[in-house]
Amino acid sequence: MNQSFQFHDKHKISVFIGAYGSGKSEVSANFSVWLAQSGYRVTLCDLDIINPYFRTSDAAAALSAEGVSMVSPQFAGTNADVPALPGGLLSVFDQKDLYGVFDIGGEDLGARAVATVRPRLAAADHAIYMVVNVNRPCTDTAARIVRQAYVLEKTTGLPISGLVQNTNLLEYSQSESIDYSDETIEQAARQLSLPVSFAAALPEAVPPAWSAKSWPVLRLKRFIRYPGQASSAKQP
Amino acid sequence: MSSRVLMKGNEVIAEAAIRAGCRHYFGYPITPQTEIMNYMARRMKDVDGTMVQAESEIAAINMVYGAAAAGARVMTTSSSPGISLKQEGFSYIAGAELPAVVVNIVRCGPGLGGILPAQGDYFQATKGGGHGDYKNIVLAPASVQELYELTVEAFNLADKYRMLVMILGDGTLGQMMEPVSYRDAEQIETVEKPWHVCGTKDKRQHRTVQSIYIDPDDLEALNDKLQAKYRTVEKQDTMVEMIGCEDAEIIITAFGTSSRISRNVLRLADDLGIKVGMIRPITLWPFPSEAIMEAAAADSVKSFLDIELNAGQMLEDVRLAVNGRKPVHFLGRTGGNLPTQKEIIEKIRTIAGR
Repeated sequence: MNQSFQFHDKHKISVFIGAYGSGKSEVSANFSVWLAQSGYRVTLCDLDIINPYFRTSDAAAALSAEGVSMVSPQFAGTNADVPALPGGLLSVFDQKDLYGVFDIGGEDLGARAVATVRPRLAAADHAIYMVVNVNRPCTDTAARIVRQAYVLEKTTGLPISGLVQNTNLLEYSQSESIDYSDETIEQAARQLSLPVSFAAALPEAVPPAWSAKSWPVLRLKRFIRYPGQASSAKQP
Repeated sequence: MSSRVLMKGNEVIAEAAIRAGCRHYFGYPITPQTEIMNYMARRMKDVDGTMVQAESEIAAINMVYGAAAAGARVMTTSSSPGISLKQEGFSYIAGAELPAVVVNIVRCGPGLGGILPAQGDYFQATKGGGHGDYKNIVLAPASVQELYELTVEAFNLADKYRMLVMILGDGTLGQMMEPVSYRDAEQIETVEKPWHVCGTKDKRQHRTVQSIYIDPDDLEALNDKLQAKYRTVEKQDTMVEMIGCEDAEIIITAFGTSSRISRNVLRLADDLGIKVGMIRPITLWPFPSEAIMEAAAADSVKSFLDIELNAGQMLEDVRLAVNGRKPVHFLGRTGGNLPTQKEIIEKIRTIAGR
């Protein structure tokens, strides 16, 4: 599926953080599948303790079929409004041949989940990626992306390794002329002295301009179902 | 940035309120609407507004009462159990004829229930909820774009009629993400509020905002005035969307999330050779009874199918409007479950007998 994703910076643990609604879950799920397809044993850890309404764990069956195992919050899928970290999380650190992908809840509140495992994470081979959707209100300018990055770094206590360009309008992406605002992301990356590690989009929404970019492109498959999504996206 | 932004339903309610001139927000967190408050906490600072996390829902609605009396555009938001707590305040606001906007992102009940979407607060929203003879205008959006537009409209209607206007959404609408364009953001209708309490500076008689009337004739006069106002609202501001109702054999009635699901079914029914239309009330109060009465009178229409995320609430208003002319069937799910397109199409086939 993603043989075209020429990303070589594999770490034992890849952490995805970002502003609320940046697309962390979809990127984490697809990144996990790509790792599994590349021959690694992968566990996707759903650490989104912020929003019980939709989360990666809802996609567990589909991900399992792709060879990705999951660790989810104890209460995931029960609709109990109780935030708690999954107990199986530490097994990712303990098993040497296991690769972990952490899907972290939105913003600073969500990033606290990372802070709780900071000593283990800091000692492990890891990378922290900040997922950015420029069409979202808190990351619509370079200045806001930078501010968001600082807030997240302060909460996690760990430096961000790179940005992920994930600008989208969900399934409306293909039919819209989206301004991908590549220069906004690049400007923020420069100010943060970080690379744009990779970009992600639905296959039909990958803009031609990206072929001239240095970043690898992760072509997304939809794993996460969001509330209210019907088979047809047409609404008044 | 694209001309459209990707917004969550709850966020867009907050953004719309701010763009409509709301500078005072009082709330208390509850799933599935807490993002409204979270967004307000961040955005109110940019516009020199006030956001207070009150000590309870009851405190929040009484802060709304105070700010509204002082002439401010003000809003509170909550979800079902929290809205129940606010009912006394709603009644006082109606009695004092104050403009205010309340959002109910409904979750499943009764009791503490659960955090998943439902439409079980229809009766509470449209039939009163609190004590006394009063009405709230109730708007039922069905998309994130419409959440934006109807929230702006809610502030305009509240000021126009000096009434409480409720946005009745549900967990699905609050949590879903869709692109939004902020069109018509500048269309804020400002009205004079010669009644608001703002200090006399010793230059005039003081004004009073109250809902207490000791003299029975005074109170009856207030009630007569309120009822006359409600008749005007019914006449001027009933909103409804009619989809494919011409020559329809079955008419679906549905609002909000259940109308989103139903909308997709219309085409599927068409493929089966069953002509199905939909009447979607956008105002739940005033209820678009006339549109339903007219549909019920049409020869082509054989029956109605009311679809809700409850045990049958708007159903009663549909039956009143149909008035026995045609059978009214019902499909509802509770507990946070949503009816599937398949369930609806099966029901349509059963009704149509094919």
